[in-house]
Amino acid sequence: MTCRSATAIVVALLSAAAGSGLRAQSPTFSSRVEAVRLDILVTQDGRPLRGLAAADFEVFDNGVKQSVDLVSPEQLPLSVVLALDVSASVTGERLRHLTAAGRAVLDALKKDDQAALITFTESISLDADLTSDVATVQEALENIAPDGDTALTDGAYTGITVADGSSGRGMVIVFSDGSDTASWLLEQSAIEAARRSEVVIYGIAAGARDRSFLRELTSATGGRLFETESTRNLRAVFLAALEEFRQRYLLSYTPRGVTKGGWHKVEVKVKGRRASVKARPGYLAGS
Amino acid sequence: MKRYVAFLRAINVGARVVKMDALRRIFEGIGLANVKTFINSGNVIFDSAPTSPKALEEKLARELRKALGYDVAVFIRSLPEVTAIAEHAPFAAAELKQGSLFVGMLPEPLGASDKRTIASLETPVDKLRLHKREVYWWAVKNFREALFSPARMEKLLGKPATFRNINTIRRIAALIAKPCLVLMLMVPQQQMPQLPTLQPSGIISYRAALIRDWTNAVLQHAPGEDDEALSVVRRWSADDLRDAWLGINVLVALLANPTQKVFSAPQWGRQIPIIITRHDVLMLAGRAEELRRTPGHAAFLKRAALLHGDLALNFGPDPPPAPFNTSFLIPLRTFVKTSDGTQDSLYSGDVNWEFARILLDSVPDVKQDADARQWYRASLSYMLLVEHLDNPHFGHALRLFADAAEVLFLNGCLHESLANPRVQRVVQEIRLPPSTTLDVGSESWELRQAENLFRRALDVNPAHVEARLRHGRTLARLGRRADAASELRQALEGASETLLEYYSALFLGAELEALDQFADARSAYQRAANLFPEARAPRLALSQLTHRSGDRAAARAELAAVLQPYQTDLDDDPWWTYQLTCGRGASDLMADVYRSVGGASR
Repeated sequence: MTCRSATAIVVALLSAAAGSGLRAQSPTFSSRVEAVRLDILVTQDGRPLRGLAAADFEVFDNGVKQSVDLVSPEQLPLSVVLALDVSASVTGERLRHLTAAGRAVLDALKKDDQAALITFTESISLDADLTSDVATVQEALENIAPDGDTALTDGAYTGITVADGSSGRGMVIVFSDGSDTASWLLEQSAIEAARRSEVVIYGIAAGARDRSFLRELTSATGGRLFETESTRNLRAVFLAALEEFRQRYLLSYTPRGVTKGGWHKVEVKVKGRRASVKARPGYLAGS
Repeated sequence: MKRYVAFLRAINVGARVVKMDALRRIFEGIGLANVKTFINSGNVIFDSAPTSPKALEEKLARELRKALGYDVAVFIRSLPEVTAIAEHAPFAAAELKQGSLFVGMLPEPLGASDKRTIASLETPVDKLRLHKREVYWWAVKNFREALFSPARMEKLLGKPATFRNINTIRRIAALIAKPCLVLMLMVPQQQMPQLPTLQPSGIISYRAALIRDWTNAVLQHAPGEDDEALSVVRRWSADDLRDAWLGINVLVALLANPTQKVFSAPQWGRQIPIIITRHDVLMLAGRAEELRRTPGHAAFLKRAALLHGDLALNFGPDPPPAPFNTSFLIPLRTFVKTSDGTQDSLYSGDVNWEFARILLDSVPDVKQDADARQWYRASLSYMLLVEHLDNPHFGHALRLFADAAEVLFLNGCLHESLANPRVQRVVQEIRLPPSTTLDVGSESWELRQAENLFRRALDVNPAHVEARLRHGRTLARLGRRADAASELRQALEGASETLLEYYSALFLGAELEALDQFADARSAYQRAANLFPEARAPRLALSQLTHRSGDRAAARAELAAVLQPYQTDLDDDPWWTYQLTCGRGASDLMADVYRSVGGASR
């Protein structure tokens, strides 16, 4: 196994993700146009800042200012992938807390939102594929049987891959109560896959001392790592992650004045405010 | 309470979907304790008061029918039975280099007519062997090309059966017998327990009785069998063992030198004197003289070592003794049992390993003794197989047999295991008693040790494919990509065993990918995927490689084939058991020792 060099292509096709109403609103999102989508969180004094318009943002792609559109979050349903560590350590009370937290997220989804459930031990299982029939995912969640080791990296990669294929705004909630002990993939592979994707990853680490992988993974997508010593408040943490995701802005632009390939550093600013912006640090584009 | 495993027929096959939680509740509902499922193909581990397994099978079948609405045949095996199934070797290891081995559980041993039926079901690509209540099915090519049908076998026998991959059985055996990864704990000298005072006399006649029982047990024990001779020693208390130990040391000394008058025993790294009456020395000298004549000095010591080795390997006390056992004189090692990277409990090592080592080391000219070397190979393999990482045992074997390729190789495997993330995570996460540390180096230190040992094994035997494979893997983990690829390519060319071919292809793919040779990397991953179509690791590798190319939809499609929950009993990914597979020859090796040393008729 090895570190992978960055040579891949990622150019987002928003048209594939958006409904027809969105295309009518923003004609640049035709299937022939390569667009970049940025899922960003803006906070001021630690609280999400709402009510901003496209004109409030400045986006720089490799230092070149871009013209951006703002997509109304209501126009794109969520695609929430729960990627849950169900290794042997997640038993008893921990398991009850975890299933309750997953249930709470599923209950909080809206009509057109989708959800999927991935569980990982040393193996990975897609227990419920992306569906708006949340009851199916709920049933799979109730059937979790903890066992074995922890393939956290493999599980996270699978979560990214499943969410990235969705038609909605992809969110992956990766939960683990430990560190990786069994993955085939290298951590760097999953992190680079995250960079190439458009999903936002929220990590929830309960108890483990080494959280560097989840920290780097979430950071690569502009997401966030929630750290908790116990699983007791897991339900509140899962809901907080979902709520924060709903508070994000979705910007899109077609890159102008920059080279097509390689790593593009992206910088997002809010004009005239002392706001803090959390977004993926860039994207990998290719020929 | 005794530990059992229930193997359920046709669970989560086709439309028969059963939640593992529901399954556990059914078992708990009839009073069974510590119920745990293993993967979701119907393997349930539980504790029960000693009972008739047959009655329990019938009771469980009734409960399952009531809860699920259809018949589920139940096959219960005890802990020693599962271990024995996992270790039984009906086919030579050389034969199993190709294809896959499955075990079918039957309700009872088959009669002559049924045995003939089984024999008639063999095909050129399916070999069948019966042993006790199990049928061992070797799919010579692979499962998909097999002609043997378990369903047809059931129909012809008129009996139900359920099949599992041997690796599933081995993993269950490892889970229940030595349930967790076990690491050695370093305890500082000042924290050693206060030693008891040796009794100069008074209990000497009691010791003599123990020695008589012990020597009889050694002579009557059929190596590899859980017989009455073994039970005699297994029933001994810690005090019995301590007293016997002193007498055994005297007896061993008298076997070597009938005129010896001063005796000692090893204790915490030093020799302590044994005070014994002249009368008792004479009695033991007489016994030693008899043993020297039959079965002979070296033969007796080897058989004694095998008796204690058997106790340690398969049939030892359950649960193991508590840590820091102050009533014992032998330097017990303290271990940490861990599960999923976290500490489970502390306990003392099985004293029978110490007995076996010390007895075997007393064999004249032990370094040249083939049986002793083979026993160390077998015991090292066993420890790797069950992840009981007893570092000093490995080090001791290496000191005795420093030029033996297999001993070098197995020591390399130990250090490779200690560099594994499962162990390294324990080192990071574990909270140990004050002043104690794990006998584990840093990942890079352990990898360097492993690399050195694999290289030395290859110096002795350049044709050792598995040493070549693991050397390549270790070099890769040390970041020496080009060297690693070269070693792995050689291993792939030399691999005649499917398992080693799979590992070589998978690891070579990763190194070629690191060297930006993407097309070759894809071919290597694909080769591994073809060998084990159910395996996750090569599919993840292929998906990730595709993702790198920018085709995210195709990356997802690559994964889809292996993302569904298990649908058969025969699932497996050898990647999950990579660290254990270097110990897979343990039962064959021990069988060789049993044959060579002999003992009471089996």
